[in-house]
Amino acid sequence: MIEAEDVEVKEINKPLLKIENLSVNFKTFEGMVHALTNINLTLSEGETLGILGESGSGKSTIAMSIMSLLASNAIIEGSISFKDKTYISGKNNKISRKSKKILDENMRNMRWKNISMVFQGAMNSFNPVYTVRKQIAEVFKIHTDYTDDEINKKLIETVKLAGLNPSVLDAYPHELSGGMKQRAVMAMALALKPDIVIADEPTTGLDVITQAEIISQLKKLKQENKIKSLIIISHDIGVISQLADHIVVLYAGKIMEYGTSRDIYINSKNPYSIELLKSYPSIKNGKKHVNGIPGTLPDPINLPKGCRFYERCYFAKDVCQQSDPEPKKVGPDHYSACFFADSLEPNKLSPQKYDEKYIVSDKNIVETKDLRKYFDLKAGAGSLFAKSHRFVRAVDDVNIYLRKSEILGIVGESGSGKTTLGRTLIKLYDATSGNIYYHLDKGTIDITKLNRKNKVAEEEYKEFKRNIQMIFQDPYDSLNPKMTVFDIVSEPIIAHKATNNPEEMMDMVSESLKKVNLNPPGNYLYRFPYELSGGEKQRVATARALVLKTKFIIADEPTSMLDVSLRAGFMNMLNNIRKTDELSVIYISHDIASVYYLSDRIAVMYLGVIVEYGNADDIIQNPLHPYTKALIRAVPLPTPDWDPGDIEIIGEIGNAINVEKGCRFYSRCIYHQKICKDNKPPLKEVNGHFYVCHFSEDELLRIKNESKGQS
Amino acid sequence: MDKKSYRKEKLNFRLYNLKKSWKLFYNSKYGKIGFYILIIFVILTLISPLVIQHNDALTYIAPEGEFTVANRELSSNLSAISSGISTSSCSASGAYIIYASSSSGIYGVNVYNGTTYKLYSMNDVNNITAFTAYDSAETGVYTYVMASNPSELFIGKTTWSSRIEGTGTPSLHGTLIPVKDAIGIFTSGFTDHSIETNLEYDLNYIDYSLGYYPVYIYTITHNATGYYLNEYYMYDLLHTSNNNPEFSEKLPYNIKPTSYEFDAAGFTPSAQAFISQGDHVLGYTTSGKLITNATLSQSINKIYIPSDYKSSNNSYNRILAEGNTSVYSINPFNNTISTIFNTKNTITTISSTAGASGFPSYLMVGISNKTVYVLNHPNSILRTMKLPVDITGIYVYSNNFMLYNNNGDYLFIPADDVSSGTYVWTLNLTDGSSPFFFSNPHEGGRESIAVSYGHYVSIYSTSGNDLNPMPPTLKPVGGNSVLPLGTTDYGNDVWSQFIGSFYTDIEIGLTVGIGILIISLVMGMLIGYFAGIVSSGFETLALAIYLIPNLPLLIVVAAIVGPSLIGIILVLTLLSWPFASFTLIGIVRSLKSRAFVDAAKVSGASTFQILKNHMLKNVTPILVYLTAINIGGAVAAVSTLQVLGIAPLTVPTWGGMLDGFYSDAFALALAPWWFAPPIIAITLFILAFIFVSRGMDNVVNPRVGGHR
Repeated sequence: MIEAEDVEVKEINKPLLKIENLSVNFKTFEGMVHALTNINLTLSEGETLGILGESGSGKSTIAMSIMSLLASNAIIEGSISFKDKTYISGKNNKISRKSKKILDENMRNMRWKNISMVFQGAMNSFNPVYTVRKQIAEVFKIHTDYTDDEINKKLIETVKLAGLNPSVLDAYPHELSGGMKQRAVMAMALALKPDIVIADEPTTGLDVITQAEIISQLKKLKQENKIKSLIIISHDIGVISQLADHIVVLYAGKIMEYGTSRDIYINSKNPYSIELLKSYPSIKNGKKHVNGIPGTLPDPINLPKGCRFYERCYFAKDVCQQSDPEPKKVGPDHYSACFFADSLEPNKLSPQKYDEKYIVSDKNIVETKDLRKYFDLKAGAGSLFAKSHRFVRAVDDVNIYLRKSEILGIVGESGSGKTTLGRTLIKLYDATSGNIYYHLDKGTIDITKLNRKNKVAEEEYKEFKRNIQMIFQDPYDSLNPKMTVFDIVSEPIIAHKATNNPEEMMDMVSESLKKVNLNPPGNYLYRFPYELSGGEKQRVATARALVLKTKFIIADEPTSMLDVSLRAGFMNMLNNIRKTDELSVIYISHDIASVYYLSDRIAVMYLGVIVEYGNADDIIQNPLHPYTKALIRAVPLPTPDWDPGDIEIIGEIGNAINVEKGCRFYSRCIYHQKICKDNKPPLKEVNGHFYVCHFSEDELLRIKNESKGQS
Repeated sequence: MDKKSYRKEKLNFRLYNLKKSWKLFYNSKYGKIGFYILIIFVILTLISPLVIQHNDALTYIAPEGEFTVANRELSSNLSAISSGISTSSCSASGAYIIYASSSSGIYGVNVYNGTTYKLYSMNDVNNITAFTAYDSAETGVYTYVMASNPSELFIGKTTWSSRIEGTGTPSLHGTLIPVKDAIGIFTSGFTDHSIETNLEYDLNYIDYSLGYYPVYIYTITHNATGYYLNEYYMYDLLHTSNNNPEFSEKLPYNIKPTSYEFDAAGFTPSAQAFISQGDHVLGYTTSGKLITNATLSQSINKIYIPSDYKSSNNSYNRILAEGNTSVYSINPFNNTISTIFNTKNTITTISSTAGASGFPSYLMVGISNKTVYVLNHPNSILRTMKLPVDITGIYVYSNNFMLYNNNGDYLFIPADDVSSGTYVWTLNLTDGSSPFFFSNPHEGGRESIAVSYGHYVSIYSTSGNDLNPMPPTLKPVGGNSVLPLGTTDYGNDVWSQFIGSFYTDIEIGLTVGIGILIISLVMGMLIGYFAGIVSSGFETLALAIYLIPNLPLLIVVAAIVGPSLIGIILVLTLLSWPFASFTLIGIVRSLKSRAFVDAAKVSGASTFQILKNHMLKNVTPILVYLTAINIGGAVAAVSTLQVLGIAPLTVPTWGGMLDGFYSDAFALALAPWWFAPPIIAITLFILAFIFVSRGMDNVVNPRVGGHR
């Protein structure tokens, strides 16, 4: 036994993949884009390496370099070896066409067989006209000599490996949910039992629960040694922390820190790593203030001479501007590229307290009564003759209220109707039934009664429009690329004829830009959206929403497209504005940690209904609805110690067309009883904390224990 | 910040952006090339009114000037130098042989093939006349030749070895009459019956029962006692008897006769031979009786009788006499004299048309200062013709005038051109003889002109050789202007059509392009942004127009609308908008689902504001792109219709120029100057817009090729 262990230890230490002095530059019209600089990495057999970094840090470029799939304008220096065989070296750029062809041939054999990759957004990379079987079988057909029967056996084997039912093999990609597609892609990557699997953002775009499932699947595969070595690339600290043994922190194409998971999370020796971890709100830290990192990534064309993080670093000294720090050994297997790695304070993850509690007024600004929004399914000519219409019950009997200058968070998986609720609230969709009351200065308006054609209501309509605004999820999409920042921000002014005086308009726009920390405003007025970074774009979108001193804003996933380091800054900005301007916000997100961080109250939605709502602390610390319980458990904590345990939910969110007669959560609930199927659960209240379930907390516990006892 | 500086800043910003877009555009190689080609096109269009030569390019026909030269049909080399030629036709088909006299005898030249025959050996022949006469022995008309040298007069008949004229070998048989000191020989030629009745002397051996066509031969001799007119009577190759003349009359004046002429038609009471002596004109009957004796105020250089006067007896028949500066008309019936023309210059020659009905249609008077007068009535000058040379003689035949002089210059004035035209061809031959018109059987009886010079006898066609090349030609010879690109097959000026097309084609392209732009913009917005019955209706309409095959529809509609420029523009515009519209509909629909449109709605923007600020701004680059394509496409479509000849326009277009190529595919190879310019222009024009649109692509998608 001891001997066997020794062998295993030896094998683990044997380097499988070695990247030496890798630099990748892209030649473009605007100049040389420095994507990677001097990357040195080793991946031992059986190891999981996490590559952590924001977008633009060069994470994917490393993966592409390993796979030798870089674009033709890439200039590669350094070398990459697999099992002591160097297959990429800087000299490869100048080789003849013939030897390049041989190299390509070798690479083709090596890819997938030795190194396989789960590409970013791979779940959308299935060809929609072929079945999953055909697409996975292709891998075998190209790389092996198996007969069709053997392939079929192998197919079932791999699909099971990825945690899928073999029946998905004969499904077309559109018939699968996102999580299933992601698993199918993983199955494809695992098909040939490669030595190394590279997973590039394997959970991005998936819901929290699906994300947790994928993570645990990967963990399981790793433990069972089905995946020998894994490189996992993500911007999500939580995901990396769950999987990686060693973590590389990348910033602007440079390795900032390398170490074990524990080194990075608990004992980080690099200012960037420290700041990055701090900027990530987590459920554990609750409402403790997170800072974010000011500024943006340096321009990859004109990199600064000194430390690349110099401009954003709180610890920066003059020397940082002058020269670029080399990686320094700060512990066993722990390197940090910082001049002051030794003198830095270890990251304690407990900075300042969340500042003083803001007292929300007790007056409502928005109220809904039995609000419904159904979408008529009228696809195809057949529906003309269909006897009964089918509906998507996107929002069903929702009663919520929003107090003045309150932030109400709405959470739920995608498909739960959060966005539809938001859009119905500001009349982007007309409500199917129910009422929405706005308590504005000039009185109460029921916007479901408003009609553009009704002249009497025109004043009310204008009043309503003036007081509501929305911040959209994707700042790349919500800003017209052909309009300047000034035109974008001044649009509501023109629309509401707030002023015709260009001077005044300019003042209003500038003021609004200042409010969202775009200083000085003059620098931004005549820039186009493509000249702004993602964070700046979302700020411009916010400035547009605030320019008329709006009372009520719906923020629909405003941070999901932003880099981690920028999210906290945006959320803090929003929080400050609501304090200074008495702004009421409905904050819609699937990111529970950020909703918890920002919101006063939280409502949890599932398939069009609100299943639980109450004070933020109550909801997160003491969830009462089974769905909320599962949801909150699935959120990964950014520490290597976190263990999600079992995922207390079945399957994935269904559609809102054929809903259960009784509890909508029935089919996924691990506590479900007979009563749940046909009877609508009642609204229950515990200290101003409402939830919709047949059972109380104690009853749920009992049910759980019973079921455990049975199994 | 005050209002002004705000505006200024905004303007500066716009300018800056425009400059930036321009830079992006200009950075694209395609855009750059397209831009420069377009600039060239625009410049050419702007200067086209200045460089266009003929604004009526479609109807202007390059003139064909005096570019006809003598057309020599045949030239034959005699073995001896010719001293004169003559021919006469004895059949309807014409004369088969040109007779030439030389120092060694009489030669014949076959008008078919130029074969020369030495017909008769005789020394120093200086005078030759061919005429046609009836041979009662052989009962037929034959060609006779009369030739003389200082001592003898030869009269011979041409016979052919095959007995068919023109086939086989000709030969000449005849008799010699000793003649001494002849200064002039002339013949009546083939006379008709009427003369016979007037014969006053008894001819015993003439068989009256036979058809009787007398021929008289006159000689004028001189001896110490004076000048004599001798008449010989010829019948069946015989003259009367023993080489003696029928009569020999002494002329009344001791002056060398200058001109003589026989008038067969006869003035009452007889056919006469007219002789001029000094200022006298004498007329003798065939029996030697002097019945006309007119005295004029000037000495006579030439007696001239219009040809019809000679053959038919009319009361208006006159004898014309050419003095030094005057032309006289003598009425031989009563010897009255009238002056019909006077000039200060010296008259060198006169001639006239046949005079079938009174005074000849045209009486041509050549004078010494390179001028010819044409008279249509006595003392009435119809026109004055300037000539390049002085002329000394005019030969007239079938109202065609052949003007010539002793230097061997020949100018031909066809009958049609006498009144208003000019000579159509000229010829210069060293030592050229007097020209001789004859009916050329080789030319189907049309007149040809024979001349001899040196060793040669040549036959020229009266029509001359038209040097104006058949259009299409690169080098039209007529007119005062130079046509840089030659002519089309109708003789139109290619350069003017080509240059004129710039304006039209660019006008068509721009109008259609802008028309499509407006319609498709409205339709694209309407159909793309709004959903409803109206927009569905328009979409269906657009689809219907789009799905009907374009070219046949264009052809049909163009045929109905007719060949007007506005019609064509309307047809093209109204049929081409769906494509651009569909592109726009797609873009507008995708824009409509973009979040910024929702954001604008939330901001309270009106529909118009959304359309203007969000849709239009995003659609503009693609609109520019589409318009560029449409302009090129419109020109291509018009050209297609024009090439097919379906939409003929009254204005020049490149496509219209290519129409000729459609009817004659070889024309492309034969007349590249005609087709290459429009083909190159159309190709470059369309390419330019495609290039520009590719350049626009750089502006529309600025990050293509940039870093991501």
